[in-house]
Amino acid sequence: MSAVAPGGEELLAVRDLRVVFPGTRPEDAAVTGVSFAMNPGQTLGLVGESGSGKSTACLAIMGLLARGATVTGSITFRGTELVGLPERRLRPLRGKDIGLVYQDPMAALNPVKTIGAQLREPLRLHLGMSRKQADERAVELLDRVGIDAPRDKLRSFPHEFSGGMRQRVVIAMAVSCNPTLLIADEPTTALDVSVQAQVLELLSDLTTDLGIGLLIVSHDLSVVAGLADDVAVMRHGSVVEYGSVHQVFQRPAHPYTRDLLAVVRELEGDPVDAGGRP
Amino acid sequence: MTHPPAAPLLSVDDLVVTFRSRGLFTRRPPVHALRGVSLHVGRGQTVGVVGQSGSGKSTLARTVVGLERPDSGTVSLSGEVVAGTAESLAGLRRHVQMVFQDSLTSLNPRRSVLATLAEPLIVHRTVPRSGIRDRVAELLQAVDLPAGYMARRPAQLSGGQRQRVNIARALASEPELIIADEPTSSLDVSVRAQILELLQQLQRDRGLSYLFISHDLHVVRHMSDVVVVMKSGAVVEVADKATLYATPHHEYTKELLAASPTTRLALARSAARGRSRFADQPG
Repeated sequence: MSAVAPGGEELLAVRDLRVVFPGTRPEDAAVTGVSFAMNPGQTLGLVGESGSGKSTACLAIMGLLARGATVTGSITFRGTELVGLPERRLRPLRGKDIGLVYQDPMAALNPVKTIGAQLREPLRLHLGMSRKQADERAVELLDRVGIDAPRDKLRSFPHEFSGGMRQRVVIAMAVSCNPTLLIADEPTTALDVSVQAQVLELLSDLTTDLGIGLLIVSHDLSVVAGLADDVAVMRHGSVVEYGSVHQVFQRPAHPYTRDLLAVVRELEGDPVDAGGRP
Repeated sequence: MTHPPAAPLLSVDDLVVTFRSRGLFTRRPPVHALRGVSLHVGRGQTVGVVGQSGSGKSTLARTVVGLERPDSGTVSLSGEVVAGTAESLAGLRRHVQMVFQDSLTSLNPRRSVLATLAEPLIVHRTVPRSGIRDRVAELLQAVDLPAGYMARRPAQLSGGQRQRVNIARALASEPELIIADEPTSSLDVSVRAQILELLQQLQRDRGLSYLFISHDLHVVRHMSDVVVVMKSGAVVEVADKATLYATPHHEYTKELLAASPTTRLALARSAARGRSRFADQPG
């Protein structure tokens, strides 16, 4: 864990993060002693089963935990300490410098507002664009995330879109204000398999092209293998293994990681067979 | 694995199911859920059905057990056509059981495990009343749950344990065929493997046949002897699993295969970017 950023400051550094929810004993901390770091433009995968503390760690970074939760340790985003930062200083970061993609795009979008209205909101709020400028930028964004006839779609409502298209819209919103960090919490879990691959590819292409750091949370190791540069494996609120994707997948040190990988390998079957595919 | 004899255990022939919705104000076009689907499941065999959501997989399962009425086509069990009558369906359900995706909603939250597992024993009269408790204990043992779990309610069980109870309930009527509709899709990866292992174990011990439905090609490949690929309510490819994965014929099958990258390929791509904070990268 003694990796050093090769030149330049860290985009995000989480050190000894600990989260205790109200009404629980301190020894039942949801997250305890979690540390990891990301360079600008890098992709980090946070893996673990449900209940391992992945999402809680992400919510802590965004400052979105319910009031009363005790957060200790340090979260620095481009040198700014986020732990203990007042809400009025966090709000300009959320949705602008830090973009968010949630698991369920239907729940992330407002069902009674048009796609255009929802895309314009952060642009006008954070970047002070006029309605006309925001409309132009919205069309550009929809086009960039692969939505056909983007101008016509501004007047569509979320229910008129398929699950994959909705998640594309959510991604467009998340990157609209040129963030330097994108947090994606199980971005494809609610989607169909064939659409999953497309959405992951879009996330990978976008973050690479725009130099955005991506923190991707998933219970699915194969998702993380394809996207991430580094991986942190969480279990029972702690990081049990942290290293490059290569290290973690080829030579897993922790028995829990080995178990998770064995399951994936068994389900994938004979790798020789798989390698023969075009 | 096994070659189906003259009359396969389950035979589905040219099944057509259309949903017509009559809205109050709107008239929507009919949805063609199944457009002439045929397939066969031999004794002791596992037939996997793959396809995206909306491809008709679940409608197929529901129609086979009589939960949907087909417009045309037949479902036969050991060569006998299952008619839509109540007696015929009762007989069918003794021999064909189902395990659903959501382990929680398929159990009555207010019923104990004992009550849940006793019901099929009472309905199908497979054991005398006095033998019910012993038989339930046996069923729990078959799915690797302690007999003490009889008193628990679904909320006191984990997702994996609940799915074991669902499987035990399916076994209660001593069926020949179990239709499993995405039985592991809502489970964590490590639990998923245990449930798949249990299903295979039960097949070996009891000579069960499975119609195994999933959108996950890896899981279907792991479980099946024969794989049926569905798209838009029709079967687009049927092949034994080795052939399907080595030489997929249909464009859609190729697409599905390409959409589920194996970790090995994914790792190679990741390493090629070389953006890790850790020095140890392959050359």
